[in-house]
Amino acid sequence: MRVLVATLCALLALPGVATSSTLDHIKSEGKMTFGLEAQYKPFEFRDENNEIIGYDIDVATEIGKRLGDVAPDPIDTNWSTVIQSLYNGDFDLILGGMTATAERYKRVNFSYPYMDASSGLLVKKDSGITSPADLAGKSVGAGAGTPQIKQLELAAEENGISYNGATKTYDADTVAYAAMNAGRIDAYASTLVSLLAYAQTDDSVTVIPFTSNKWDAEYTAMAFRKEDEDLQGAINEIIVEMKDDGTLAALQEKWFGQSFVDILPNKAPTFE
Amino acid sequence: MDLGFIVEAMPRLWPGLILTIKLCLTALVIAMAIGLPLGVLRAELGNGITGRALDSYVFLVRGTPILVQIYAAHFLLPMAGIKLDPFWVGIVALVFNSAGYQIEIARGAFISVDHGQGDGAAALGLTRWATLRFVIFPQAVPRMLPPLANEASHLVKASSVLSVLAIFELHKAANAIISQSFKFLEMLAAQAVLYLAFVLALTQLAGFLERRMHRRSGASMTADLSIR
Repeated sequence: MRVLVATLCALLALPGVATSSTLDHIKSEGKMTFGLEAQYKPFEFRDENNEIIGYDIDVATEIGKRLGDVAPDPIDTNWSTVIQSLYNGDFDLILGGMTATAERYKRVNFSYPYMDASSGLLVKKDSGITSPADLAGKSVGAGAGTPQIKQLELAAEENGISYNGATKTYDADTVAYAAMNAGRIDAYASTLVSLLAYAQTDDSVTVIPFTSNKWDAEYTAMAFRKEDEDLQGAINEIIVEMKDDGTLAALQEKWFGQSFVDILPNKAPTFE
Repeated sequence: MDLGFIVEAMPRLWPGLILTIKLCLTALVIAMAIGLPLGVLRAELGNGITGRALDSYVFLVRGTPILVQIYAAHFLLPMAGIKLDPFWVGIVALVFNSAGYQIEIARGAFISVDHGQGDGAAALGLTRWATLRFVIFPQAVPRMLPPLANEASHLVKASSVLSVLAIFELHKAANAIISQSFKFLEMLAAQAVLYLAFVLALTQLAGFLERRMHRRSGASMTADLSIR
């Protein structure tokens, strides 16, 4: 038993296998693999032929072109372990609608923001909930491992209210939508744009803004291994180009119905 | 519940169902090839090093959730320098799990054959191998079938957990449709029907084999009686 434990410890402590730079690897392979979970419309989801499509795929395709004939290769993965899988070597970077957070920044570096990630609250139209203050005594939910869990906590503090029990967390937004329709939760916090995509398909719900002075503006960014600074630099340059020449705005119009480019800073979130 | 949507979505579940069938049959065959002989070995061995090692393995498989075993296969194997594509990671996890249960199935069937029969065969001068081959196995193998069918149906449902590795099996395929259409209940129902159909096919096969074996062992018993 002691030998087994020692072996496991040694395995876990092993540093990542040293390789040539990820950027060089992408260019020489002519392929960029990126992690996402294809259950996050309109960022990434599957079409009728089970092909992964969405805003992130279009952004990756454009980045690939500008890196020089690099084909985008989305790797569908489990979101709650996506950072672990990045270090496992399953893909080159995370490009999957990830909200940049201080917690995640401890393990990955972020690109310049390429999308707004403001939060929203999904509620039933007939619930009478119009602002976070109306959530006193209500059941609330958020996605597992998302920043919205903390935001719900802060919102309760700010409004001097308490919810009905602990925040319920769900592995996927889609499961939470079903939970809301089954009457298990009264409000669900997620990113505004993904909630709006769902609200378009369900007449019984509406989306209200979920903002506060208690947390900073939030952005969607790509995530890199800490050591992949050259890849981060190369992609940041491309993001600036795409903002300047209108490509990014056009892709946002296509998938979100409006452009958010004007409010996206050219600075990688570092939470200092 | 939108029944029309279920019918419409079925073709999109097809690739997922095919992959689930491939995963399960591959894992089942490999797990049987490993687990059943090890189970017989376990029954033959005393509490030596090998016997205890097998006990520890069964303990580990039965005592940890399949989800933990799947994550372990996904994240620990690469640390040991073994990089497999997700399909084979899934196979490794399923085989690891199922073989553990099958050891107990084979061992249980084996020790259920009355001890006196082995002793009698030995007294008649049969070698241990001949005893196993002609006395023990013909009685033990048919007894393995019902619990094996049980294990196979357990394996099929356990394979749905492989969706966490983003293996595009049936459960994952249904999730993909949910995330595009938000038709949650419909896709729950659709995948339930397909899992039921697959398990039904497997249990039918097991039932067929069971009836065949019983007919054969029944026939040979009459033959034996007529000799006497």
